[in-house]
Formats: sequence, C-alpha cells, structure tokens
Amino acid sequence: MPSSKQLPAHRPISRLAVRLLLFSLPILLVCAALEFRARQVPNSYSVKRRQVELLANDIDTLIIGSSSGYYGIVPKHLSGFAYNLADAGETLYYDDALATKVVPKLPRLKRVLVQIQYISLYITVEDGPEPWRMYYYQQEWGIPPVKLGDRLDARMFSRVALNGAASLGKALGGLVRREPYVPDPIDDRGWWGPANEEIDPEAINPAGAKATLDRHHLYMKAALEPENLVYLEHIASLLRGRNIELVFVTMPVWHTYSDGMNKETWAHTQTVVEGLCKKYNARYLNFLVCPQLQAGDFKDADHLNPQGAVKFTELLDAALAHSEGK
Amino acid sequence: MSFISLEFAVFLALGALVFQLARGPWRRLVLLLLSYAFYLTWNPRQAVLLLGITVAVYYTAKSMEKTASARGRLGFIALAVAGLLLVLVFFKCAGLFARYFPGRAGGNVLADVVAPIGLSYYLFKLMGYLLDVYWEKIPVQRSFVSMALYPAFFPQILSGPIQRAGDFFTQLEKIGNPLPDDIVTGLRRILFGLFKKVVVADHLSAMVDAVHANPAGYSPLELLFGGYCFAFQIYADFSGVTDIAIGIGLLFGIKGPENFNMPFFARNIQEFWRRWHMSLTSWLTDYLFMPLRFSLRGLGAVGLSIAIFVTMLAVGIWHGPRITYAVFGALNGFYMVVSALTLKKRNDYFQKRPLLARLRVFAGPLLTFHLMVVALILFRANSLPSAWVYLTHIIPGFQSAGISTFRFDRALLHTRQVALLLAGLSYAAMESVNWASRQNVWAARFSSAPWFVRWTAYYVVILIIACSAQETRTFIYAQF
Repeated sequence: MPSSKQLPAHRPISRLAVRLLLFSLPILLVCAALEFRARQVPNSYSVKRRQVELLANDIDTLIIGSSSGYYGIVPKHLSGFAYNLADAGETLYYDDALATKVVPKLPRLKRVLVQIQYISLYITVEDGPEPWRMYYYQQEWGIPPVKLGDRLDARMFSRVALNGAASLGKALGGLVRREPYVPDPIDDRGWWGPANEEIDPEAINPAGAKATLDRHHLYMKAALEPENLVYLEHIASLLRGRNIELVFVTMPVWHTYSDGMNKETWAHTQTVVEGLCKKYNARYLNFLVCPQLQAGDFKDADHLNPQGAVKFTELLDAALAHSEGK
Repeated sequence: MSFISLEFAVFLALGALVFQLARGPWRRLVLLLLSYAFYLTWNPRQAVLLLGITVAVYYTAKSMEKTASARGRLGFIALAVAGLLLVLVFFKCAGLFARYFPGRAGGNVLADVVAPIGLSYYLFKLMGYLLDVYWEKIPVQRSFVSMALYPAFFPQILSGPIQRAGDFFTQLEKIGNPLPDDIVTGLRRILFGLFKKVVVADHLSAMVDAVHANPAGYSPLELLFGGYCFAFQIYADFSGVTDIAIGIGLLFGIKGPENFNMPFFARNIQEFWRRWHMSLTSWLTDYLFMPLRFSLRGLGAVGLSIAIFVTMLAVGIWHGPRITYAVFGALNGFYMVVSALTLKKRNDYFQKRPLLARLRVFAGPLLTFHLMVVALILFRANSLPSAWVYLTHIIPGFQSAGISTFRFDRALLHTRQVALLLAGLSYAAMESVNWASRQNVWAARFSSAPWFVRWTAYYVVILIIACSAQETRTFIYAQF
C-alpha cells in the first residue's frame, strides 16, 4: 500500500492523464477521418502507378526523368507504345528505384529513355527545393528516402501530415463536391499536357532564365556526383541484364538558360554520360540546343510547353529511329 | 524535426511519458537522451560538434577551478571564450568567403559549411557558464550529464530562450515529476505559441515578403503597412516559439526564462529592450555591457554611450554576418544612447507639465513602436540598398512615379480583406491573452471555470490553428 505522502503526487497525475486522453479522443477521431478521406485523393504519383499497372502488358518504351521529360515527351507521338513515368523534381535515386520496381513488371519493354539534364548529376530530392516529394514516393511506390532521419518523419506514413491543412482542405473540398480532384492534367500515358496553358514570356527572357539557373546552382553540389553516378550505373546494368536498350536523352532548353550554364560542369556531365554509353552500349541523344524549336515552344527557360512537347517528341522519335537504323 | 510537426508531437508525448516513469538521476539522463535524439534528427554531424564543444567546456571549467593563479584562470577563460567565438564566427561567416573557393557544379568548397542549428544559442549559454564559473558566481558543474544537458536541452536549442547556467542547474538538481498544474500550464503555453506562429505570424509573412521583394513598387501607405506587419510577424513568431519552448520545458519540470513582456507597449527604447528578447539582452548586459561600463567608468557619459552602443551593435551582429543586422544594431545603439542621455531631462520636463505627461503615456509607446518599425525594416531588408529604397519610398512624395501615396492594393500585398480582418483580430486576441495571462484575476478565473468551458476554448483554438495552417514556415529565429 502506498504511503500517505505518495498519494497526492500520484492521484492528480493519473487524473490528468485520463483527462488528457479524453480531451485528445475527439481530435484523434477527426484526424483519423481526415486521413481516411485524404488517402482517396489522387496525386500524380498514384495516377502514374495505377496507369503503369494497367498498361504493363502494352508498354514497350518507358520514359523516366524529371519535369523536363514529364512535360516535354508526349508518349503518343513516339513509335510503339510508350509511357511517361517522369515526374517533376525526380532525381536519379528515384529514377533508379522506379526502374528497379517497374522494369521487371513490363514484359514487352524494349527501350528506356533516361533523362540527363544540366543538374541531374548534382542534385538530390532531400537537399533540393521540394523534399516533400520523397514522402509521396514512399507512400505511393514504397520507395524509402535515402536519409534515416527522413524515414522517421510522420509524412512517411500520414497523408494529413504530408498535405497540411490548407492543401488538404482543397482536396477534400473536391471530394465533398463529388468532383474528381486531379492534381495535374495527366493524359493516359503519363504525359503532363494542359489543353490551354498560359504562356509567360517573362519566363524565358534572360532574367527569368537567370532566376531558374540561380535556383539550380543553389542546390547543385559536386559532392553528390558519385552517389548519382551509382544510381545511373545501376539503371544501366539492370537494363543490360534484361537486354533492354538504354537511351540517355537531354531535353531542350532555351538559349537564355544554356548560355548561363557552367560550361565546365556541363562538359563534365557529357563526358560522364558518354563514358556510360561506351561501358553499357547505350545511346545518348543530346537535344540541349535544338534549333528546330522556337521561343513559343517553351513554357519557361528549361521546360517545353505542350505545343513544343509535340514538336520535340516527333524530333526525338525520328532521332531514335535514325540512330536505330544506323 | 520541427516543433510544428506530427512527429514532434509523437516524440514529445512519448518523451514526457518516459520522463514521468523515470526516477531520480535517470530523469536527467532521459532528458539528455531526448535532447540529443531531437538534435540528431536535424543533423548528426552537428550533434557531434555540440558534444565536442560541451566536452571542451566541461573540462575547461574543471581545469580553471584547479588553477590557483589569477593569471592562469584569466588565460583559461580568455582562450575558452575566444575559442567559442571563433567557432561562432567560422560557421556564421563561412558563406561570405565561399565565393573565393570555387568548385565544380557552380558550387564551392565552403558551400557545405552550414551553421549548426541553434549554434548562437548554445554557444552563448556555454560562454555564460564559463564566465559565471570564472567570476565564481556558480560552482563548476561536476555531473557531465547535467553539463551536456544544459546547452542541448531540446526545447531551448532551436530558438532559445538563453537560460542562465545557475538557474538551469539549480532546477536540474531538484528535478522531479512535474506537477499536474505545471503540465497544464505547459500545454496551454504550447497551444498559445502555436496560435501565435500559425495563425498570426505565418499569415502576415506573405505581405511582408511581397513589400520587401520590391519596395519601389509600393506606395508609402503599403510600405508603412508592410513595416507594421513585419513588426507584428516577428513578434508573434519569436514569442510563439518561446512560448512553445517554455511550455515544453514545463512538461519536463524545467521553467525557462521569459523572453517577451508585451514590448510594443514599452514607453521608451530602453524599456523596449527590457521587454524584447529579454534573455539575450540580459545576457549581453551582464557579460558585455557591465564589464565595458566598468572599464570605461572614467569616461563618464562618453563611456556609458560607448558601452551602450557596443552592446546594441552586438545584439545586431548576434543575428548573423549581414550588414543589415549590424545597421539594425547600430541604429538601436543610437536610439538607446540618445534615450539614456536625455531621459533625466525629459522626465524633469514632463514633471513640470502634467498635461503633456498624460499625453506622454500614449505618445511614448506610439513613438517607440514606430522607431522599432524603422529598425525592423532594416533588419528584414534583403540588403542595405533595398532597405534604403524601402525607407525613402515610405516617405510621401518620394514613392515611384505613378504610385499614389494612399494606394492600398490588396492584390499587390498578396492578401484579401477577410485575411486582413482575421490577421487583425487574431493579433488583438493574442495581445489580449498576453495581457490577461499577466493579470492573476483573469488567469484564476479561467482556471476555475467549468471544464467544458475550458475544453471548448481549447477546441476552438485548435480548430483555428488547424484551419489556418498553411505551408509550414520555419521560425524566423531558428536561423540564428
């Protein structure tokens, strides 16, 4: 039996604990309901995952990469049956992880286009401008973040934690109104292509391009190259092991962007890619400077708009056929 | 792991539970482990640095105690303080020199040198500890666990407050299970801190960011409004994180020092700095101003002016190696010197004029607030030229051509009428609660209200916070 001195200390704290539990109960119930509803809201990752599952037996060409590829390659304008698995902000770690997950499930796959841009070798999602994307890869694809600390983040498991109240409100509003909430205008082959996109002429002028490059330089780190090279090598050996053709593609940028690039860095990237091509018998199609495209084909200095994407994809298709013929 | 995250809420709940179950000296160990676990989630390498510095300070204090000669002790303290300042300067200034060490990929050798989280706070704590030991104000801390816990104490490591070693160790020695009343008070402080940050500060930030991005594009009225908004934003943000830190501390039986006391109601600049970031200003008063004042005592008013000015300059530079922070400190030094040197004459003047003295009660806080708005524009500005553009364009007649003095374009300010109304109401609510919590009668009335009244109030506040939450913004003072 506890002594009389202990009683006052223990009783109030247990009473407080019970009260705290009772107080938290309605909050926990509301959170659980929100989480349940939020999981029904689609996003570009869940849309693409479902589409790949549905089209697994048809896909013969797979496109992986970041926003330049996501916006700029229209699968329907490529020969065969292509699917665009690229997504905004995707880095080589996720390209590799996605390829590892998806490639074995595509029985007719013959070719994979891997996008290589100016920033590709020197950037990671976790140290980039949009680290929240890694939680979507975990939640939708089961791809864990690289860093252990990120694996302990609540956003790994909870959509409420990941979306925050404001964006969640928007998404849930759509559900309440019984309208489907689609985060991006994605077509049935994974391409981002809004019907009427407003073009911002400021985005491709020198100031707009400089702002983009400044942002890229802020996140580019030479120290990340070895890590990213490992992912590229892994993709290459995975594809070689399955006798699938690997094509590295550099997407076009407007000259205001390419003029501001660090020449030494870009030359080094090209050397690395050419080295990989030799080692793994891959091809490299470099469209960085593409004279056939005009200013009106660009969404901003380093992304094509839908019209430019169609134009470019036809050029890419011809180049793929041409070099294949060789 | 941010204070405003679900994982931190889980971490805190589990930590508080483990702490409740721990007994005797284990409590300190639990707190230390929790503190390092929290810090490790930010950056493991920075945790190693924190531990290394703590070990160095621990043994320096012990060695200083064993040294009998005054010169030897002086040597120890001088070396130790210089070493800690060197660490601070290296990490804070590495970015300034990065351009001289170019590397590939548009980067550079020093680009990866990032100032560790909470560096300014824990180095000041440790410096204060060493100086207190040197001046024999407190004994040397024998327990390494207590010593390591002092700089690493997780509620205070991100944004302070800078608790004094003597106060912290005294509380740590008697640490037991926190009283239920303290836990409730702590939870209330956390909730209030979240309200300040999420509902008030974050909703003002869009307007502040807009006017500071291009001050030349705004009218004098919009710039003035932007200046007010930043003053309210930084106050709500910083006092919010302080409330959260104090609240968390109370859950673990440690009462942290207060950092704010309704500063925008201060009657003059001196009083403002006694009510704003109190833990830093009192630290600098004790360890910089007082020694300076003592050594310059022979110079009279000039010595006093130098001591004040240097201290205020240090307040500015403490925030980082930016010219705008230094000018912020210098301007406050100027305000303080003028205020200190004229205070007696002003008091005499108003004593003889009771009518004006009554007016002074209102005019004093209003003038002080506006002086601080000007200083805070410098603090927030992206650069000194940008601050100059802001401060010149705020004067009617000096705005850019084609912009009227009284234009108030909500779209340009990235806000709406409803948002402005809510921001105003929430700020008023915040200051009302601040005021009421200082009046024992109101605090007692709320505590003795029926449970459903209190719970309803809490649920309403939680709902407001949840509905206001937008893209998580870090606390402004977490960068220092």
